[in-house]
Amino acid sequence: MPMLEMSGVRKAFGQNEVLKDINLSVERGDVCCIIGPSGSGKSTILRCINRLVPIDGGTIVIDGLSVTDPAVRDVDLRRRVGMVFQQFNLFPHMTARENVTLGPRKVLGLAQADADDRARALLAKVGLADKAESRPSQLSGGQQQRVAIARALAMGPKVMLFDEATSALDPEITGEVLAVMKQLALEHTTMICVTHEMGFAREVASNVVFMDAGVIVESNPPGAFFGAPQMERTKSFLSKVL
Amino acid sequence: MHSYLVAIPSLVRGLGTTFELAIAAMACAVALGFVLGTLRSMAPRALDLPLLGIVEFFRGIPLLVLMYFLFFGLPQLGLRTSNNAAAIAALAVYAGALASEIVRGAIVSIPLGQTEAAAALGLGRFAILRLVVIPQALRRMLPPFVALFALIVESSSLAALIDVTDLLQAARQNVERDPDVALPIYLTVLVAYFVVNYPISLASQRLEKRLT
Amino acid sequence: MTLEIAFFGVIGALVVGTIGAAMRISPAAPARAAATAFTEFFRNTPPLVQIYFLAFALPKLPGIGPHLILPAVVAATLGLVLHQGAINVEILRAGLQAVPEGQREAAAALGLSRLDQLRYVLVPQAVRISLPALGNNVISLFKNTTLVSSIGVLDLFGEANDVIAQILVSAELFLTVGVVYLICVTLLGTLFRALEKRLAFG
Ligand SMILES: Nc1ncnc2c1ncn2[C@@H]1O[C@H](COP(=O)(O)OP(=O)(O)O)[C@@H](O)[C@H]1O
Ligand SMILES: [Mg+2]
Repeated sequence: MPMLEMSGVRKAFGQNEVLKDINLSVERGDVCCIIGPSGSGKSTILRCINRLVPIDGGTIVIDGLSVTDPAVRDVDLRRRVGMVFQQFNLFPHMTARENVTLGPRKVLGLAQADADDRARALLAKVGLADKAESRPSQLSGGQQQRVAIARALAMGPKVMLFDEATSALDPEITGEVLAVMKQLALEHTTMICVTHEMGFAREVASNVVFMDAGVIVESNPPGAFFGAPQMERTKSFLSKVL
Repeated sequence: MHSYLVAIPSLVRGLGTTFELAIAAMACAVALGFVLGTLRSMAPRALDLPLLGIVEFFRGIPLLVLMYFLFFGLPQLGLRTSNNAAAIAALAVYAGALASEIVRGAIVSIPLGQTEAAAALGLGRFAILRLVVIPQALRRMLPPFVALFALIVESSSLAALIDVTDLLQAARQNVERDPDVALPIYLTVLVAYFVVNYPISLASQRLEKRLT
Repeated sequence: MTLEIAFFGVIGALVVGTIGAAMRISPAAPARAAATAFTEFFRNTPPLVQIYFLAFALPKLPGIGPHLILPAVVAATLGLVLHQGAINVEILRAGLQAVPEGQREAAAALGLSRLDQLRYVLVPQAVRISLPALGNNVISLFKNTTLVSSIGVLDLFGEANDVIAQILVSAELFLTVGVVYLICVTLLGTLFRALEKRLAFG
């Protein structure tokens, strides 16, 4: 059974059909990279997976849990799905450590000391062991995004969602965040990454998905996807970004 | 019931006085606000400090103290004032201090690039202010000025305490004559103030949304 | 007297503001409607008239009125609590609205319940955003304690008022009282700015 299975997913905001019949499957330990022009519905797909946005039709199953089943509670879903945002969305009134421990303490019910241990280990893993007591405003963008990754990992998720995790960063510091993401991929974390980093997709992805105007135009392993794109729309998009 | 109906005309006259106070005070406050606010936005630090002191003083002391001072205090210094004049003056000075903050805030919120662009065209300091900065700042002043008017209407009720026959004082006089009408009369007065002020504050909020 | 009224007034207004703001964002439509009606009414009517209503009109309510004869100081404090509380509701609601949407999403994505999202993420930030406006409202309440004198409670100002009646040397006295108020207000302002600095992000 795949880790994530979306079939026939539809979503409209008012008259605006943002997702039209999306079918997507991600195997355990795979890295799925979603690329496509802005406004094509990439963020919406991620938001549907953890129910930040309710879908209008179709089904989504994560690790055996049905997103459309009302008996499945939000927290059951969200503790299994970590999310990293383009704008980091760190809590500005908390230190890095407090950002990372909030979920484990309040959702998983960990004791403060255990949550602190976990936070220390994860902050060390993203290279920020010495920044545990810093506020977000004292950290650079790259450091903030790495804290945000640690915060999501602290829940022990089955799937990690990355929504343009490096788009808000200056080009010279995207590398430090991409390095953390590559490390996670090497450890066989199941990841779905919306990204504009073609180099990252080529190197790390199991599958590259190209979206345009609410539909999946083409989906292939990176070799085939970049080497021999099939659809005209994919070719024209790739010719602009590569 | 009878004395309630009898009271209505005097309440209406009182409301008229409330409007007179509020409009007169608003006019003075806007004028004061423009002079003080513009001065403050242009003044060098040394000159700005005393002006800031004046503004903070009139914002800081309670309006009622100001009103009593103008009405009871000034005559003892040999200056006769009428009740209405004292009320309007107190409201005007108090609201004028607030208005100057509105004007100054709006002027300094206009990006420096506007002034620089105008200066690059060769315009003088005063022309820049009049032709470039103030026209843009006016838009930002409008919502807070509308809200200020609601505040003046609300605050004008203090005039009753120096015996100006505004809406509240008219109500008090009626209640003095017949204490049994207190409930309907004060309820009427509350509702009347609400009916006047609610649309004003709604308008201010709408403007705020539209203009930003 | 001034200090007591101000103290209970500030506490009461904060309680009213918090409850009102919670109701205004509650999922229950009747709670929202009630809180909105309360806020708009008491925000848009003069506190002095509210005090008069509480002191002189409430006791005339048929039936229960005679039990509602409030001591002047209670009526006055209550009036200030209602007015300033309604303003606090609006300030806190605006503060909650000003917290970026991404903060709620990030908290929800972690699996926090609606209540925990509010408690640990949204409210702490809203309070920091609201602090300057809340501070202004405290100052305004402090100044409004002067209204209390008008229904016969002696506050700082009422005492001066009485003395004038007897010795008629009001000019300096009013100025003195005004300056005392001014000093208190300035102190309050400084206090709030210090608090803002301490709680600032980062
Ligand atoms: N909460 C929302 N309400 C209304 N429209 C939305 C909302 N979120 C996204 N949209 C619209 O859905 C479309 C796809 O948005 P999004 O998924 O963010 O695209 P992408 O991430 O690919 O740039 C856009 O047209 C956007 O305006
Ligand atoms: Mg997006």
